[in-house]
Amino acid sequence: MSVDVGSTDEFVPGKPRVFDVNGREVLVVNWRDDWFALRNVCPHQTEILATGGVTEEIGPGERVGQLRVTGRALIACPRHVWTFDLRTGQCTVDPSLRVRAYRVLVQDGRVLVDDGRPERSPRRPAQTVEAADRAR
Amino acid sequence: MELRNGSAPVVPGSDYDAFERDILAQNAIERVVLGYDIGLQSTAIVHRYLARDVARAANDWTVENWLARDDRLYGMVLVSTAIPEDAAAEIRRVGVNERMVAVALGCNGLGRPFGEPAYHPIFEAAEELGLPIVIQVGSDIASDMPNPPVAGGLPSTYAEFRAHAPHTHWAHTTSLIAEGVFTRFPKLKALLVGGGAAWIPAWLWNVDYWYKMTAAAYPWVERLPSEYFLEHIRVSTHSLEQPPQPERLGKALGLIDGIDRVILYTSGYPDEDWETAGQIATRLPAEWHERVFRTNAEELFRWPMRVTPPQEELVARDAAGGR
Amino acid sequence: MSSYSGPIVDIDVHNSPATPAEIREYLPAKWNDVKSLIPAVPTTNLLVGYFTPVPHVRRTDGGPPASSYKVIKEDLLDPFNYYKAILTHNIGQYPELLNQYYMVDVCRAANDWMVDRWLSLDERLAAVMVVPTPMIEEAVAEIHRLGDHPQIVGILFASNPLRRPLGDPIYHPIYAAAVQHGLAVTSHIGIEHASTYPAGPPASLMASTGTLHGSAGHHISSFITHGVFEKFPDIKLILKEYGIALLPSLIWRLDAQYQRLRRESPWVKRYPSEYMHDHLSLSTQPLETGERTHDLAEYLSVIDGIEDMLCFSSDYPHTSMDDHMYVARKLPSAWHRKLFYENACRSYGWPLPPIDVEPQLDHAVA
Repeated sequence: MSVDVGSTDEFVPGKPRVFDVNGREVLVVNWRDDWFALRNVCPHQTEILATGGVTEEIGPGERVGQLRVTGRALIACPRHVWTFDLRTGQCTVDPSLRVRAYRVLVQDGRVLVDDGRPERSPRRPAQTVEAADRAR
Repeated sequence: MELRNGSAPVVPGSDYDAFERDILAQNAIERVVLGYDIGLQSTAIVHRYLARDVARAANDWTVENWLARDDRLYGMVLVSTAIPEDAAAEIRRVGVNERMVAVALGCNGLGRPFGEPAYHPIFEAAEELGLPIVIQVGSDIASDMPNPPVAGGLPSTYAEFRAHAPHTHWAHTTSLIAEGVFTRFPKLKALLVGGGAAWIPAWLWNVDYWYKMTAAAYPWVERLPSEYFLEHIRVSTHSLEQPPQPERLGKALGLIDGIDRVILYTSGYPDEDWETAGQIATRLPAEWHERVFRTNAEELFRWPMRVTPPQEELVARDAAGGR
Repeated sequence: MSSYSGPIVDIDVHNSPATPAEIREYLPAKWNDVKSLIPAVPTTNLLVGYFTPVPHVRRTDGGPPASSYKVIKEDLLDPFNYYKAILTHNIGQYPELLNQYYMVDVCRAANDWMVDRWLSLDERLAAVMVVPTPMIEEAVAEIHRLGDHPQIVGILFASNPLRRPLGDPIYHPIYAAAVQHGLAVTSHIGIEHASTYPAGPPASLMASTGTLHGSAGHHISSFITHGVFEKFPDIKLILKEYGIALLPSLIWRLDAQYQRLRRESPWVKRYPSEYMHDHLSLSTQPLETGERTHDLAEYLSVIDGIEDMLCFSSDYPHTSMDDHMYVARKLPSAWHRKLFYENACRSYGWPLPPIDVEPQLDHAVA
């Protein structure tokens, strides 16, 4: 089911925003013409991921001592700086850790997060986390 | 330990008759790798060309005066590390002798842990010849080296030097991994001698933690440091810890899957604390013994193609009452 | 897996001035032209990412993390049943300053700042004091000056300009003064200088921290060989941020040297492990972890009584900080009472906290 998290111009590239998607905090971020959504909890010590840095992956160059930018988009948990693939949620430094990833679609200028549930009712907008707090 | 040959005390480890009695005469010994003692510190000779030539002379002396006396004896190519290119040349010169089965690194002649890129020619030569490198505690001991052999400063007591023996192991191993030595030389292996082994789980957990925080700075470290360790590093039993409850050593070590492939027996003879295989066996689980006392060493060192005597010779020896 | 909701003593919280001006306020005017409060310690460059303040602290009141009491109160003290938090400066390397006369005044100013701007705010807060270690007499004088403050509970070594293991006799007048005032001796990582790393200076964060447990071991053994525990039977040594998995191997290796130690030193009368059990505590952070949840607990349990030597710390707000729930999950619930408050209360001389609720004991590994 698609959850509408706002219009594309409400997002600043590289700056995640957090939404309540079916009772779970999900971060949504725009990075280099691409859109990503991850569960907003680091599986290591339950830190909040959304305040971490969005970066490009640095990979090995041809020889030891050389580096190269690989193009893979990552987010670094702000606590211990472990990095996660923004597309798949896979932790790049600990193979046993993974964050739930959601597919994101952009349609008619709206950003839609696929929450993995079957379509039942019309698209409805999600609340940002701050709005959800205020409502309680 | 004072070894006597005639009436005069001799330097431990220099008396072949004592060595034959203490080590070779044990029925179970098939092969012995000789690894120097104080000679490892020849790298610390300040005149680096003298250091290089002492190592060369030591290698020739080992071949002529030791390896020639018993075909169960094997040697390590001693290299002075202060001029890495010369060390590589020495590996290529002496390492072709099939009785040379490893490279013994003297102390770190450049004052930096062994992963330092300037040392890489040594590893290139070693890998090329299929020889593992051996790093022994005590080679880094010279008190006027810029860095101490023990973290935190020069120790006041020899007892502390012994207790903290693994410190240089940790420094060298982290360096080898972080500087991509095993990425550049994937067939290379290293043996750590003289620092015991009980620390292995704690150290692996620690180094993996700090790696994860900084992995982007070393992208040529493509796997967890602990994975490189289990594949490329071996640890000898010399100075193996002695808990009051011996079974706890196996319990501690056993938390690392595959640890039985990492640990291998070295006597440490004629060090004050040298131990027979029987003594070590009481502290390690029986199911590890085959690997610790034989297989891991068989797999690590570069043995000549025919390493055990042919069957008919074994039969003849038995008939003559053993050697 | 177990949780914990009982009282907490956190022995390592790094409060920080919002700006250097906060500390300069306490410096004599003659130093107004000197620019830097922070010494140049090159190896610390390796730790730049490590010291990066963590946005975990979502509200900062505009200043750097942990520079606001209000924020620490809302982040740590109130939500988590904190009985005490020990403020450990950030991280207190002032003794590395090269001009010793400036250095002494900066250490004094940092201590005055701590007392004036922090300790008066909350009785849950305690602190360790910086001592100008390269000037032994001045260090002793500073301990006498502030050592009776009820909320100052220890002296801090976060740097080691004399580059000797901490048990070295040169430091003993400092320990005599500390013991007079009931202060624990605290060693925090950062005291390792490039020149004291084994085999050469570290070239990576992995290398600098991968050998930290070596440094811890030597400082501990030097306390034993130089008789600090014999000369000062009430002294407590607290090591912070070295980790704890170093203990089993260290204890076995030191005990194996008992006979040699007795031959070489007139001070060794008991096994090292006995001295360590009676006088030493280590902070749990950064908690090591193996592949399986219980690996660390299994490894530690090869030493009887090791739970008497552990004290919880968060290292708030640094990047390697530990969540107390994470620590509770990884270590046996049977140890929780000791590691979350009892051991620290004993080491620092506090009465045990009133317990309204017993710590939760789930079906965790014992």
